[in-house]
Amino acid sequence: MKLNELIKSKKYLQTLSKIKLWEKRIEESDAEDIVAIAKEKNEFFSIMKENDCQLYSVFEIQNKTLDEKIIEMITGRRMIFN
Amino acid sequence: MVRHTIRGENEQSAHPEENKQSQLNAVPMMGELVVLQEAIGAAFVAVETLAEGGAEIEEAVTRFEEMMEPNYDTTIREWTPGTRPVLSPETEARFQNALRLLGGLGAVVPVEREESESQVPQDNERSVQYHQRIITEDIPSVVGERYATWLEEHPLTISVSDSIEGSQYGEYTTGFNRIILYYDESMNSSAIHHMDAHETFHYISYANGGFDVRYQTEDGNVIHQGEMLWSQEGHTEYFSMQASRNAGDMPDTVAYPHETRFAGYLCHLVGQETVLQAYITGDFSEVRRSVNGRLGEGIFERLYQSENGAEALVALETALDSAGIDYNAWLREDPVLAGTEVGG
Repeated sequence: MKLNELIKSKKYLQTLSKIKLWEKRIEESDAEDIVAIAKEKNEFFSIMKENDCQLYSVFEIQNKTLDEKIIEMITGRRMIFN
Repeated sequence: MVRHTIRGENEQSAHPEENKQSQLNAVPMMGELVVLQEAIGAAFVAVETLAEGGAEIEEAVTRFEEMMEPNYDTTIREWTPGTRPVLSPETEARFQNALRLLGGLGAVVPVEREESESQVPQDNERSVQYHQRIITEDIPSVVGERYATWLEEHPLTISVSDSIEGSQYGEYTTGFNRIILYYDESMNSSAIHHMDAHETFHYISYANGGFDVRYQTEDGNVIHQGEMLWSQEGHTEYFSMQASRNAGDMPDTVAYPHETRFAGYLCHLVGQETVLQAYITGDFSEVRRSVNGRLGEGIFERLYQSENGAEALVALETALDSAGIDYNAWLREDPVLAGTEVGG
C-alpha cells in the first residue's frame, strides 16, 4: 500500500486513536495502571510488528515514545532509546 | 560557550527584539540546579526501590552519581516515587542492564577510560576507539569545527553492555552527558559505529536546545512546537548516517525511514547547513522561511503539525509535487536517502 493511502486507512486511524488514549492514560496513571498500559501496548505493537511491518514502521517512533514516557514515569529519568 | 538560561525565566530586556531573540536562543540549562538535584534524587530513590536495596545498589547509586554530569536542564516532570511495577520483558531487561552498568561498568571517553568489570571488556576498548573516531572524524565532517570543538569541551560518558535479546540498541539520557550502547561480537563495526554517532548527535542537539522546535513568525511572535521526536529522530539518523559514511563506514540499515527521508528532503530543499543549524539549536525560523518561500505559505506549519514522520513525509511530497520539484532525483543521488525504502 502506498504511504499516502496507508495514512488514510482505517487501521492507521484506529492505531492513532489507541496511541492518544495510551498517552492520556500514562499521564494520569498510577503504577498499577502503567503495568496494564505497558502490557496492552507491547502486545498490540508486537502483533503489528510481526504481521504488518509497513504499518509498524509508521508507528515505530510513537511506540518508542510511549516506552520512554513509561520509563520516565517509573524512574524520573527522560531517556531516548535508539 | 552555550548560554546558561532557563526557558521562560529569562530576564526581560527593555528591547522587545532582544526578548524575542533571547527566547529563541534560550537553551534550557542547569541554572535551576535545585530542580535538577531533586530530579536526580528521585531517580536515586527509583533505582533503590527498583532494585530492592542492598550494598550493590548503594554502590550503584554512588556510581550513578559519579557518572552523571548534568550539563543542562530539560523539562522535568514532577514525579513521586511509587511501588515497583512489573515491566514488559524487554523493558525489564533494558532496565536491569542499565542497573548493571550503573554498578561499575563504564568507560569515560575521550578523556580517559576507567577500569571496569564489563562482561564485554574488549568491547569497552573498542568502544573508546570508535568514539574517539566519531568526535575527531565523523561528526566534524558534518557539523564542521563549531560543534566538534564544543563536543571536546563537553565530553560524553559512554558505557557499553551486552546486546538485549540479540538486538543492538543505544540509549541517551537527556540532561546528562551519558550514552549506553548495547551490542555483541556478532554485530558489524559499521553498525556499532553508526549507533554511537547517532546517540552522540542526540547529545549535541539536546544539549544545545535542539529538543524544543521553535520559530519566529513575521510578526515577531515566537512559536514553541516543543519536543517533536519524529523530527529529532529523522534528522539525527540522516546526519549520523552521513557522518558514518563520510568516515568510510557503510551501515546497512537506515533506521526510521520515513523520518529520515523527510529530513533528507528538507536538506535538499533548503540547504543542509540551514537544517543542521535548526536541528542542533531548535531554532527553525530560517527553515520555515525557506520552506514557505519555496513551497507556499503555511506549508512549514502544516508539516510540523503532523502526527508522525509518515504524515509529514506525505505532506512534504505532496507540496514538492505541487511546486514541480523532482525529489526522485534526490533519492537517486543521495546514498542515505537511497537507503530509506518506505514500502508501498
